[in-house]
Amino acid sequence: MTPNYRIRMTVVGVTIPLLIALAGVIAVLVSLPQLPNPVAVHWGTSGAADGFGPPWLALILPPVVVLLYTALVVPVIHMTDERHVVTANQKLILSIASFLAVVVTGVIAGSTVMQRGLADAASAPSVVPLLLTSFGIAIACAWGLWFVLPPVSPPSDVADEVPTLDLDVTARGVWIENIGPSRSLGIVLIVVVTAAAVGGAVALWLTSLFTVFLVYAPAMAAVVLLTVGTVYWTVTIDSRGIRVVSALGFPRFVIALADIESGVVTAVPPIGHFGGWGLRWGGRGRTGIILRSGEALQVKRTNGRALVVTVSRAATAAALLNALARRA
Amino acid sequence: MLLTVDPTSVLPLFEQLVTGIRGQIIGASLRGGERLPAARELADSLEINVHTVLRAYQILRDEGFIELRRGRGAVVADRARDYAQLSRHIDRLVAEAKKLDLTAGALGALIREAYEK
Repeated sequence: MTPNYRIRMTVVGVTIPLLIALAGVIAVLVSLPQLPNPVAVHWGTSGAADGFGPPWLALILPPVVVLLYTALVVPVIHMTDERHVVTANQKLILSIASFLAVVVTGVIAGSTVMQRGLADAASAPSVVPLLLTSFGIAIACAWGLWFVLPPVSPPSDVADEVPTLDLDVTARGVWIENIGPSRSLGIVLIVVVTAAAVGGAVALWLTSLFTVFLVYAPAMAAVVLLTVGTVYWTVTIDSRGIRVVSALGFPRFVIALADIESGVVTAVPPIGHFGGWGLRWGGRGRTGIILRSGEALQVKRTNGRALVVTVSRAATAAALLNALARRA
Repeated sequence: MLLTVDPTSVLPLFEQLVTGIRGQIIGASLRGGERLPAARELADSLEINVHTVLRAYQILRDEGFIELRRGRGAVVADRARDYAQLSRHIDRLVAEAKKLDLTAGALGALIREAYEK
């Protein structure tokens, strides 16, 4: 990636979102002396305020959310492959940063500033116009910044060699590998799930609403299930074809030998090509099960689509797959 | 883990399995603590009888290469043995034997004889 590209990506993904959050902080700080305490933090469907909290929440929440997202964005800018590829995935992650910053700042800081001069927060006006405006500006912002970002690089396929192995006509072969997250991905997952749990617990404590718990508990369960279901897989190659089955039994990907054109070894920069880890769509009909960077098995299907799985001995897997497919 | 078997070979199927798995443990492509596929899965994939796979697993357990645990299936034994040296010696031995036009069977017989001394 050229330095110019990197600067543009940093401005869009980091600088602008942080400036938006900073603007929100200044706006809340300036109006702090005139704010009622507590301020309204939640509005019911009727449009009237029905939840209240301390004003400092509006001061810290937007910058914290934006900083957390920026922490995700920085590696997205820097982790790209050596061929200077900018993908649509990267651009999406980067332009969402400003969308998020505008929505969070607009809604949280905006709805607080709006209550300046009120004696009692219960008389706070409806936030619906503010919500709509924030979302409108956020979408416009993200859309505009998309074009500030470097253009998506045209895909360039590496010269793929098709490995194979000697398999007698009468011989049968199987290749099985259990795959799981790399150590660093595992740590990230634990941190994220813990942060979500702590964040949810804090939200519960602040609001002490049973309805929040009703949403929160299933949401956490879903996060854990999704995590386990998309980072532990068993890959089996045999005379029936290839099967990649999640530890939960679902999702599963099955391709019959007859539908396989070839298996090749490919190098995967997870963020660069697939926008991250887990079960991914990489564009150009590529489905990815991406648990670490580096070597992966790419199964090309006869219909032009492909399945990419990060297995540790991709050459062996591809060789057996090709030997079986040629015979089928 | 890659395994190939040939039903038309003179070697019985369970022995082909044992040879394949043992080779990968000694060659360090299967590491201690790694879980082997369930016998049922392996049998289905290779279109062989599940008892053949179980027999191979039992032999490997008796040789100390794997552990069979109820509920957890077959796991590569965590004995922290380093077979690298042995692998290199075997490579050299085979190369030497080939130079002298010895068949695999003849070399095997020599090794067996040396063992029994």
